[in-house]
Amino acid sequence: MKKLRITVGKKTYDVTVEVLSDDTPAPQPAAVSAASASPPTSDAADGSTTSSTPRTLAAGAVGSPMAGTVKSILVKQGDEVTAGKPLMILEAMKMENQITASSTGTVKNVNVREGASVQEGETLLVIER
Amino acid sequence: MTIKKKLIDELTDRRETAFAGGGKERLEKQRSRGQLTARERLDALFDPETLQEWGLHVEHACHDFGMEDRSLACDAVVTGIGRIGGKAVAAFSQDATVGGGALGQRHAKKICDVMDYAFECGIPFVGINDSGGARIQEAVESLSGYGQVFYRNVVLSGCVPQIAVIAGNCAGGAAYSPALMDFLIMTRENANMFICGPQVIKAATGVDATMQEIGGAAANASISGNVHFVADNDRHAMAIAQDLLSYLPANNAEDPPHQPSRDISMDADEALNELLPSEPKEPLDILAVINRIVDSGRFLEVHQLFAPNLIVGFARIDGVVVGIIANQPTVKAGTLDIDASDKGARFIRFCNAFNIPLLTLVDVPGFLPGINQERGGIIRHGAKMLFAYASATVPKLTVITRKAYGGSYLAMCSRDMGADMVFAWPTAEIAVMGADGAVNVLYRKELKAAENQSEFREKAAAEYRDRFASPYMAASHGMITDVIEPSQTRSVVSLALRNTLTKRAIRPPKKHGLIPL
Repeated sequence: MKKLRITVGKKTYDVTVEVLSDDTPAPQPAAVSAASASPPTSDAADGSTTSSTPRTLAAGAVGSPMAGTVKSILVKQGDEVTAGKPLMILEAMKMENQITASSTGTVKNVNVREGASVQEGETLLVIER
Repeated sequence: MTIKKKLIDELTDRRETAFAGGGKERLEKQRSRGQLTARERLDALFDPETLQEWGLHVEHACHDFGMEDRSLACDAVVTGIGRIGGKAVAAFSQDATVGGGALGQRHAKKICDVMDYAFECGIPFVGINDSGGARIQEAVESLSGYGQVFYRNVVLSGCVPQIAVIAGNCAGGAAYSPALMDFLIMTRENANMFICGPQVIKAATGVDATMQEIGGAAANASISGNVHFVADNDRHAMAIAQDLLSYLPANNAEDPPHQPSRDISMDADEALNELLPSEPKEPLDILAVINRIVDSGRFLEVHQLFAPNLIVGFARIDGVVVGIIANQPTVKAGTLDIDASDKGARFIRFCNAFNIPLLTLVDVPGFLPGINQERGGIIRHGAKMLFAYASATVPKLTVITRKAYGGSYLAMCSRDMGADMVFAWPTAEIAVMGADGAVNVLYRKELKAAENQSEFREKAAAEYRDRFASPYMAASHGMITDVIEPSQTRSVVSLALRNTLTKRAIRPPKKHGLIPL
């Protein structure tokens, strides 16, 4: 139930509204641009942590660079990864987009399944340093 | 008769004091952090012994708050003209060992003097920033000093290349001078650049922010895009500045330092044919293509860490300097988004200002769909790419490698945006939209009536792909200069560059166009 105050012309009404379904999409976190790039040699971004991810993501979280579908997951929990290692293939804009590790670590958790639809910024996996 | 020895001695003493900056201890402390001193930075930047220093004997002008008793060597900044690769360059280097490197009236005047000279003599200007900011004791005079520097940054803008190095603190208003310059190089450690720091943000908003999150090299290079190069250390920063300048003319009235080779090889490079993935879905790493097109694989990538879905940078092709803009399909499918549009437009505008020909490599499926993009203003940011290309009067060459869909095809320097020559690979797909999307629009009625919808859709999409998603439809209309094999790309582009170098496009006089901001 939502209580609203509506003013029509000069008259104000206090209204109680029962919301039957909510189609508004969840607010999106800010765009992540560095998580999927093959790490350049002068990459100052610290692994997949604070510098390249929005404030809302946890440390070590690899966020999705764009909305898409998880086509294939190339690592599992416990795998060792090094910078540049492909972690996942995301299908978007009719292209296969490779998500690569930006630093060395161990896969702590894989947060999505193959075939899942993901939003921009959504955590795909978590890498522990 | 000869000059009195004591006069020479006095000069020698004064020089030694000035060279000592903030004193041995402070200089050592700076070195211990892995940094060079202000003077060492200029030594590393310039050809040996070419620095002609201005204003070694300038003293600060402050008589308040006990400042009259303090002596500040060179008023905390070294300024002068040196040579880089034999060519004159004006520079300043702030000395953080002297009063924290703070800027006062005389400090600002020294910088303005070399800027005025750079403007009148048409030479590049490099600023090495390492300062605590405005000298509070000088109050409004310090503020005005910054204003005088900013004003000149704008006067110089587009006339001579301006490169800023952030080698230490560069906070608050001080950040606006580099922000008004063409390229910013920041050292990975020991350097910070921000307007409001963590304390101010906490006090004003209650939110905790770390310096790394907002002011370090990583945040400035990859999130905000304020910085175009991250250097491992001071020496590396100077090397980047030198490399950058090697592609640029001294001023906007000169051509870039082309070193055209006498002959151009017209041999095919089979390796380019072999780079193409077997499936259209698989991305082509455009950096691998760039590597094979440019001389010796040397490509100075600019703004590497920001919007990696678009690559920009400088290179030479058979000696001719060229600015390259290319979609990078391995990141965000190579789509154009807000950040990529800003990055591309900025680079195009710089090249245009300094007579650097443009080479655009196209593999773009469209603009990135998303609520953030729409609400963030992809309309007015994307429009910057169109404006930048259409308003550019330098030679513009385009090579369409694979996808080129819709508005993003236009935004990547299509013929209509004034490209002088447009080449397409046989793998080019130039269309209003992809086959699946097009089929939904064109065959809506038939799809509804179809017995087997997915079969009909597949067949219609395949037909559409054959007819429209190829270079030949666009070529038949004369929008493509020629269809070439990937292996021919380097030789074709090289010849085209030579043939367009004398281009001089005329535009109607006006104060300036209005790039969507």
